[in-house]
Order: sequence, then C-alpha cells, then structure tokens
Amino acid sequence: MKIAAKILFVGLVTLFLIPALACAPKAGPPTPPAALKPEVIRVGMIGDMTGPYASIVGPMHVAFLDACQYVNEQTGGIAGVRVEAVARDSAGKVDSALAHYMELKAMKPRPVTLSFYVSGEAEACHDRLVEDKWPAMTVASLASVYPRGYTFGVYALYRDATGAWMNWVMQNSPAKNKVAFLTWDTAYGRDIINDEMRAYAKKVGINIVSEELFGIRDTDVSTQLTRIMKLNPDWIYTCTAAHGPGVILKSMAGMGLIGKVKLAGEGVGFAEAVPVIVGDLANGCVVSRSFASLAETDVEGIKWINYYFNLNRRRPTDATGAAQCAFMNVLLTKATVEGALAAAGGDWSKVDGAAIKAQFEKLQNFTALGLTDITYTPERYHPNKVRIFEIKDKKHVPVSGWLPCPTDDTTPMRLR
Amino acid sequence: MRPYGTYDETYAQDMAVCRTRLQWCILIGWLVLLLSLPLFLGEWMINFMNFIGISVIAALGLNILTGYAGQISLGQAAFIGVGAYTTGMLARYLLFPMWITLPCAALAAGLVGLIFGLPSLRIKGFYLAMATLAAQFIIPWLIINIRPDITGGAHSFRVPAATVGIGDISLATETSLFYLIIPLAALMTFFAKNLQRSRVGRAFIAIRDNDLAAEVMGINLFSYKSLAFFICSAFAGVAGCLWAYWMRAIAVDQFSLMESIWYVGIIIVGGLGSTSGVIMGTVFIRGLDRLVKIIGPSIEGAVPQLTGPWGATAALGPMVFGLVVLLFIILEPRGLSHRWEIFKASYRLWPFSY
Amino acid sequence: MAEFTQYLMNGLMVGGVYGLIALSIVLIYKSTRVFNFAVGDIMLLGGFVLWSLLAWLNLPLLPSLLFALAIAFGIGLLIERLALRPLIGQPILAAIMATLALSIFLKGAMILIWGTGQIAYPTKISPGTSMTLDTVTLSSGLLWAFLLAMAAFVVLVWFFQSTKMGLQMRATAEDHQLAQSTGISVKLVFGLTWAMASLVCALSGISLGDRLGLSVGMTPLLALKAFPAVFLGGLESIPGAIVGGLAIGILENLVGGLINPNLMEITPYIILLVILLFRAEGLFGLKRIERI
Repeated sequence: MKIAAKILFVGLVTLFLIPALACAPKAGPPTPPAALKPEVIRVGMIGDMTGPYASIVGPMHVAFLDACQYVNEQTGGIAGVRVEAVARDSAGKVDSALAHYMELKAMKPRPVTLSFYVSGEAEACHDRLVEDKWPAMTVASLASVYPRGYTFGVYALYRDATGAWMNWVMQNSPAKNKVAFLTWDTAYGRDIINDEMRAYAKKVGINIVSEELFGIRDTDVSTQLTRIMKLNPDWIYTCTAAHGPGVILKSMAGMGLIGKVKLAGEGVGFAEAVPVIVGDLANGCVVSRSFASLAETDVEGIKWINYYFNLNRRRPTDATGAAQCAFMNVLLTKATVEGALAAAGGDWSKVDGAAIKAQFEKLQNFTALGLTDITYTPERYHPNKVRIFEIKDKKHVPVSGWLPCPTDDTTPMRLR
Repeated sequence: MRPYGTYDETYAQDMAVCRTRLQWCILIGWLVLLLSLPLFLGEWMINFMNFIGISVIAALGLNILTGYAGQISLGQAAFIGVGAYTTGMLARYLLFPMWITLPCAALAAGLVGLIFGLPSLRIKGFYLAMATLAAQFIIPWLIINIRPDITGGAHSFRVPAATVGIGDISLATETSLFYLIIPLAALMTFFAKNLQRSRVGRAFIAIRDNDLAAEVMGINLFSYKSLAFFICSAFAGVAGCLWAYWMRAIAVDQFSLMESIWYVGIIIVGGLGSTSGVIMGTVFIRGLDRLVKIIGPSIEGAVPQLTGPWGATAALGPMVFGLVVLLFIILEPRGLSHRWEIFKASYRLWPFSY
Repeated sequence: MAEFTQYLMNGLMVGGVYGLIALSIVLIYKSTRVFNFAVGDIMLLGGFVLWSLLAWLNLPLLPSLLFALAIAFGIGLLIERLALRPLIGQPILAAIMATLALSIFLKGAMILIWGTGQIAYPTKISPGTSMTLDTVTLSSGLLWAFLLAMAAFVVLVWFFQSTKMGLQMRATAEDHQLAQSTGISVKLVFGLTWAMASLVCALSGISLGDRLGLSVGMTPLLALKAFPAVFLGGLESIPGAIVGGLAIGILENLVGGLINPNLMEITPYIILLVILLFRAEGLFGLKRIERI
C-alpha cells in the first residue's frame, strides 16, 4: 500500500503539473492580424456552466455551439472563413472568468468577440476589454455595459424593459396601475429598484405600492406576498430568472392569489424555463422582452434554432430563452466583422477590435434572422425595443408590436 | 529530521528555519527564480501566479488560526471581502495610495475578525465555526444593505488601479501586480513561519493541543484566541486588498461561503499547521481547478460527438476535480506536507528508509 | 393578527423542509463526528433519481417513490464504503474534506447524466391542493414536507432510544474504539448511518424539487439554509434538528413579515449567535465535560 500510495502521489503531481505548464501560453510579441484571409475565426464565450447560474448559462452554451454550426453550414462562415466556437466555464467564480479571459486573449488568433453571460464576470472584465480593445457582448446589466467601453448589451436593459412595460400597462389598462415589485436580492434583481425607475413610474402614472426582496435561495415568498397583498396591487412585477418566478407563482398558488393579481416580469429571466417548472400556473403572466419566443415558429431564427436543437439531440431542458441570446451573439459577431471587412475594403489586417466596435456603434435595426431588433448608437450601447408577451397555454405569445423603451428616462446619459 | 551531520549547539541553531548552507542556497535560488518568472512566462501564467499569491496569503492566515490555534473558521472569504471593500473605498473615494490602503485593509479586517472571534470565550470546536459562518453571511449582508450608495450595494464596485503615490505610476498590468503580490506573499510566509517558533506561536499550539492544560499552565486563553482571530483576519485583509487591486471590480458574491470552505480545504490538503503545506495546498487546489476547466473544452474540441446528449464538457471538470481531491485525501489524509516530510525523511535516511 | 398567524404558519411549513435537511446532517454527525458538506448534492441526487424513474421509465408515483428511496439508501451505503471507510481513524477534518470533494464529484456526475438545465417533475408529488383555515392558507407542498419532517422525527427518536441498532449508533458516536471493544461493528454502524441520512436527504430533495424544480446550480445551495438550524438545535440532537429547523423557519418569517423582509437572510444567524452565547452547545446539544 505504501508503494502504491507513493506512486499514485507522484502520478497525481505529474498529472497536473505537466499539462498545466504545457497549456500555459508563452509570452511573445503580439502577432499583427493577418493581412490575408485568416484560417479560422474564433468566437468566444465565458459563462457559468456548472455553478449557481448553470441552469441559465448551460443552455446558452449549447446554443452557442449550434449557432456557430449554423453560420458555418448555412452561410459559409464569416466572409467565407470557418467559425470556431471557444467556450469556457467559469463555474460562477470571477477569478476563473478572469483566467479564461487571459487564456483566450493569448490565443492566436484571439477570438474576435467575447460573450459574457454572467453580469459579475462581465463587470470584472469591463476595464480590461477597453485596455485590450476587445469588443464584447454581455447580458444587459447596467454596470456590465457602462461606462461606455467595448461592451455591448444584447438585449434591452432590465430597467428599460420595465419602463416599456409600464407604458404598455398605461396604454392598455390605465385603471390597473398599482404595481408591487417583488424581486431577487441580487444585483440582477435590484436593477429595477432605483430612483430613475420610481421617477419614471410617477411620470407615466404607475403607482409603485411596494418594493419587496427575496433571497435567491428562498423556497417560499408567502411572507412577502402577505405584506404586498395588504396594499391591493393590480400587478406584481419581478426581475428574476428560472426558478425565481417559479417560487413566486407557487407561493401565489398556495395562497390562492392566482387570478386576483397578475404577475409580470422582465423577459430575459422570465423565459421559456418558467412554464416548464410551474406548468399552467404561468398562464396569464406578462413578460417584457426583446427577442422572439420559441413558440414563434414562423420566425426564421427560431426555425434554425429548433433545427439544430433536434439535429444535435439536445436535452429538452436546454430549450430555454437562452438559445435566442446565444444565436444573437454569434450573428452579431458575423454582421460586425463582415461590416468591418467591407469598410476596410477587404483588407483583413484592418479588421481589428476598434474597427469591429465601430461597426457595432453603427448597427441599425439588426434583426438576427427575425429574433430581435437592435439599433446601437455611439451613446447607447444597448438595444432599445421590446415586445410584450403573454404566456398562453404555457407558451410565450406576443401581444404587442415593437415598443420603444424610455431609455433616456430610465437610463439617463449620466449613467452611461 | 535534520540533514545528516548537522548538530544543534546553540539555541539559534535549534530555532533556525534554514539550518544548512544548502537550504539557504535553495531558498535564495528559489526567490530569484520566482522574481524572474515574468521574463519568460506568458500572461495567463502570471495571472495564475498572482491568484496563487493572493490565495497563499489568505490561506496562511487561516492556517495560523486553524492549524496552530486549532479554531475552525468558515468565514475567511468574508474577511477577505472586508479588506477588499476597505481598499476599494479608500482608493476610489479618498485616492489613497497602496502603501496606506494595505495596512488600513489589514487593520479593518483584523478588527472585524476580532469581533466575530469574541464568542470563542464561550464556545469551541464546531460551534465556534458557526460563529464564523454567521460572519460569512452577516458581512455581505451589511455590505449590501448598509449605505449601498457608498459600497455599491449588490452591484460591482469598481476599484481604480493601485497607485504608488509617486507621480503617475499605477500598477495595472498583471506583471506589475506580480511584483507587488509575490514579494508580499513571501513576506507573509516569513511572518507566519516566524510566528510558529515564537512565544505566541507556541501558545497557539498549546491551545490547539489541549486548551484546558494550556490555561492551567498560565496561558490566557481568551487573549490568545482573540489574537489568533486578529492575525488570521489581518492576513485575510491583506489578501483582500491585493484582490481588489487585481480584480478591479469587486462584488459580494466573490466572497461567498464556498470560497471560505475551499480555503479550509486548501489548508487540509496542504497539511494543517505547516507553512510549506499551505503553499503546496494552494498550488495543488488552484492549479487543479484551472486545469480541469481546460480539459472539458479540449475534449469537446477533439471529440465533438461526446457533447451531444451528454453534458460532457461541463461535467468533466467538476468530476475530475472532485475525484482527484477525494483520492488524494483518502491516500494521504494528513496532507501534502506530511507526504513531503516522509519523502524528505526517506531521502535523508536512504538506504535505510522504510 | 391574521398576518401574524399566516407568518407563523409559513414559518412552520418552511421550517419543516429545513428540519429534514438538518436531520440528515445531524444523523451523520451524531454517529461519525463528520460534518457532511455533500448534503445538498445527495439531496439533489435523490430528487433526480425520482425524476428519472418518473420521466424515463414512466413508473407510477408510489412505486417510484419507494424505489427512489431504496436507491438513495443504497447510494448512502456506497458513499460510506468508498469515500468514508478509508478515513476511519484519520483526523476528522480529512473526512470533512472528503465530503467536500465528494460534493464536487457528485455535481459533475449529475451534470453528465441530467445536464445543467432546470428540471421539473412531470406530475405533482404532494397530493392535494392548498388548504385554507379561516384567513390562513397552507400550501400543500410545504405542508407535506412539514408532516414528513414530523414523521421522520418520531421514527428516528424511537429508533435511537429503543432499538438495539440505535443504541449501538449512539455508543459508536461516543467513542469508536470503546464501541468496537464491546463487539459493535463500527463499519455496519457507519454504513447504516449514511444510508439513513441519504434517505432523509432524498426526501427533502424530493420536497424541494416538487416546489422549485431541480437544478445542479441552485438546489445544493438551498441546503445552506439548514446549517444554522443544525447548530441552533445542537449538533448531536435529533429533536434539536427539527426544533432548530422550525425555529429558524418561524423566526425568519416573523421578522421578515413584521419588521422587514430584507432581514430574512440574516435573522437565522443573528439568532444563532445570541443562542450560542448563552447556551454554547445549542438548545438541545449534549454538554460535554472536559477533562485534561
């Protein structure tokens, strides 16, 4: 046993020392981007695939791979060059995300864009992306995208989507204007609880009667609901994801509140995963989001998402709203790189980070195969339109056209 | 186990850490090698070394508390957070240079740790670990809810790059931070090793072995336990300060319970009570963590069929990590330092090693 | 006043779930002095096993439940045999580290088999819908968890007081070597302890899964809520685990409801600190007399 232990010990040490040293990229002068067409274009993503956000980012990862496969097989790649997906798992730890950032940066060629799916990680890498002139796309939390640098949000900011929802309520049922916020006690959930939101609500006539928080690990919000119902709201609005709306709906059902008050939420989190968890309890909920739902099978993007989903035999649990997000990231990369190439007159050596970023700023009404409608400006690095969806028969069905978000009120310039 | 032929004739020799000339040469050679690493290693590796340096400092503090004084603490990450936020706020709002924020962070974290160590007067063992667990939850709650306008609340807090106070120099690149972190880590290692052979260190070890007997001998339990908590948290504060400058955007979920638990794991794997064990444990655990994150995607690149219906990419990382650590603990429960001691002893006793 | 009762009832129900998880931790600590950090993952594994029986094999509910519990029992035996048996006699912290490594390994294995997405049970596990008494509503899922916790408590207290195996377990907890010298098979005791704890864990996993859905990223973290309950009641006390769980649930909801929901997260810890200052071994813990 002693000899076996020694051998195993030495084996374990070598097992991890040698590959670790081999994998570590060596220093060297930065190679200039090839003037000739590159052999492969890499598109990178860093996200939490095994940690607390695994249920949200895991499906995004598989859709990311599918999207790259779509670009290669159906469109011949980016400007004729094959696309390679590079994905790294941060397991919810920012230091891992940073290490992966370094690793991807050292690749030759480095990925043309990075996609982040956890706000904390995007925020940590924000300044480095500016220093390294590396365009990145991220989820739409305020601190990930602003102050303006090299990071672009891929869907409407949570606070903007909420503002647009308020407009929709006042247009369609102005009498029912009492709203209670019930949201997660995290950076994401708290994004709707701020002075700008309150000021805007007052401006359009929404009466925010209460702002309650619950923990990301809570299994029951009956206490918060009891407090809220004392104030007789018409709506409960939430900025939570996956099981967050699930907890609220189950607690509401337990208290017999389904039908007495409607639940609404921002649509990135309140996505296709929720009806899967709570079933018919989700019917009637209203959601404000800026990309298509998997139920809209006539949209070209959704058709391709489903095609690759079936081709690669993905699990049913991977059919969440995340797929649209991942497809949008890859299609955005394709559009901006091809735009930069065209602007540079076909000279690949001029297609660098700054050029790609310039293309992002010029993007107008980019639809990503019908999945969304994105317009960026040099002052606004996030899209500004949402649609309102209602969950009918466990599917997200649109009940409005594209509505503009009141971004100048909910996210004024001083925050950008 | 002394090397062959060395006999201790003076007290200083008995207490020495580096006893023979060979040991001195190895130590100095090793330090020179360490400081010249940026010349030939890439940025990813330097980033990794920085991470190890910060983890080592935090783990050293925990080792003093748990390894020497025998008090289990599950709140180390929270105290690192205190140090990080102190540094961040001082650097951003008051524009203090690094020379000032570092001791401030250490002091702040030390005091907070002292407060949460006060229950050690009454409770011991696992129940004391609970008090530190309470710290692990209460401190982030305080950061989020008390004056979120200053601390940034639940959102990330941007920390400016470390300034040196002279002119415009700021430490923003991995390499410049390397030259801040590694010497500091070496210094803290020296402190910790020195503590072990000082009066305070011996008192700690006495408390760990049998605190009633220690009290009977005249060691004031409460003051030494409080001192242990203070030192541990001060180390964590230093680590937190460096973390803030290195990460540049800090948030409370970077200082979670899992981090604390893994620091305890690091010192267990390294070997409780051994300073060199702390370094070995840190390198092992952090290195393994980095390594397994590369395995999954590499296999995915090579054999894409594996990732279809099975979540192989995401799954392989944790599986390998857990399995390796589990096997390691089963084979060597006393930690890496114990195995290293056995190796050294067998080397010195050869050919009579057994 | 009605709200006060509602908060009380909410707390009682939620406390049942905490109590179940705390029970599993206490069971293992009571016999083996090991604090099981893998409790969240074993909980999730139990939930996943039931889901597989329902969704992949399409078995009816009651046989699936029994089968899943039997599998959980077996998993507990397996874990003890492979991961903990070699560590008997070694420093306790090493065994705790082993449970930590085990939790990571289990997480990876679960991702491999069931993926990272959120999974919901195809049918509702807890029968019936919510009841309303007067102005107070009790949700059915939580009510069942509470009743389960009570049932488990009664069974286990009887087990440890009156059965031969239970007494053997308590003896082993005191001192392994002394127990062995009287002829008790420490290996059997450990195996059974882990098996029983896994069973209780699986029950709590199933209750939580019924309510929230199961996911590798989120569900193990729910077990953290039970840690203060364990210490509040005393690490070695079965009644303490249940009482601790209920106390934490009730106090959490009372403070959250009457004062400020923002305080709900840390109320358990503050209560814990206060209790520990006055009664260092928890409410029901064993007071140890120390000798030099």
